[in-house]
Amino acid sequence: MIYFDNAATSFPKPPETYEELSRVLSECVGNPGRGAHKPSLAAAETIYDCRTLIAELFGSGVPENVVFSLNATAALNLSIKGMAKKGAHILISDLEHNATFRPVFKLCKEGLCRYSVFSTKGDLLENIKAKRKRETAMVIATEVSNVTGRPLPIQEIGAFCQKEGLCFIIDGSQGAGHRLPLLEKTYYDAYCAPAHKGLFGIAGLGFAILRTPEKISTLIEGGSGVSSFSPFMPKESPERFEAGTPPTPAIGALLGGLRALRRIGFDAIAEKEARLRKRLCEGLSVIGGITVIEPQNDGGVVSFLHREKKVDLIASSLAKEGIAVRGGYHCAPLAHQAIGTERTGTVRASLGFFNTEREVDGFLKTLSGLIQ
Amino acid sequence: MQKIRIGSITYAMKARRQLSLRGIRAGLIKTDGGENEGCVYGIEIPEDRLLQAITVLRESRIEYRPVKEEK
Repeated sequence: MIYFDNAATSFPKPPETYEELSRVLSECVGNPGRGAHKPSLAAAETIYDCRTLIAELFGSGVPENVVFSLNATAALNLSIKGMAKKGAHILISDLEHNATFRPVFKLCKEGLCRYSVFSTKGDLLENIKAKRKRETAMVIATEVSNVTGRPLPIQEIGAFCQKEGLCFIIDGSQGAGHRLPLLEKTYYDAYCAPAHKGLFGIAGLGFAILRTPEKISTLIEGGSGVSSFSPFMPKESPERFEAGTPPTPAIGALLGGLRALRRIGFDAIAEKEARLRKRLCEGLSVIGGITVIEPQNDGGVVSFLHREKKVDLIASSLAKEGIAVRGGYHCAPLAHQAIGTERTGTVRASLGFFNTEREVDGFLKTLSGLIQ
Repeated sequence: MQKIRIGSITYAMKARRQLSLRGIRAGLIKTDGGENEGCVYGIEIPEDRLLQAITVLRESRIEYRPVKEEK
């Protein structure tokens, strides 16, 4: 199989992921934060190790400000709904995934907030300023588009938000693990990411790195281990946001994945993905009828379409040949409107660190045969 | 050994790490969840390192209080 669907879920994982998952399943079997026995404390230790490594790798510095969630969508919901005040105007980029768009839309539909979409074409900061209203309180931007692989200048947007007193939420779903994280140099209120994509973890886990968790409302309430007789969630992060039993095996797998990332290095990952992308885009450009969307980008996400064949047909034909890609809208309708593919969708081939030049060549050969 | 109450498991872990970074070995304990507080964690340290440990906790802004032993 040639697996080019890493933007959805990365595969394969590095050995550290499987090793840590196996260790946690056999040793960290207790409920963390609830017991005094060894299996419970071992689970808690693994979870704290993972928080610490996330804080270290992403440059946020404070392990207890790393809040685990079901996935990046849940982390974004917590961040958006936990920080949005009634009457606020929210600005989102035109490349946002539904993980951002839908919670914002719901807040607006319920009459709590209003939103506008700013264009990412041209001078992005000028576009934000043009859409800004007196009530604007929040800006949300994806770190990297899940459709085109285009990175957004989050440091510049963050600096603008800091200067203007705006809350800034970053969707790091396609950036985390693929680019050098720069949170120590970036103003942000929340950075949200999934475990199962570029960070080499498994599904069922995401996290938000919060700058000031004490200012954020909870989205779910329930048992936290501490303050049991209080009807309120505890004040302290992360327990304040993590009601219920956490997914220790997924957190352990993420810990293994992060250790692999540290071993491999962000620069090596970015370099390899850019090299594979260049090879793929060059090969696609010589197949008749194929248009590559924004081939100049440097990430592993490559979207293309054919002038006649539907994207779902291409994706399903490739699947029959043992090639995994994704066809359609990739849950990002705004992005398709922005790039003009709202009627067609795209075929997305998303490369990962463990892909090879040989796989790229095999993919191009198969696709070329299917198209002609 | 001296027992110190910290609070949540996360802050108890943080306390232990901060102490370890300064050469103080601390054990993790679950303390009596009196006052209806639920699952409260703390650390256990050698008595001769108590003052040093308290300094580290204060510097790390980790809230703590002594554990009253059950009779």
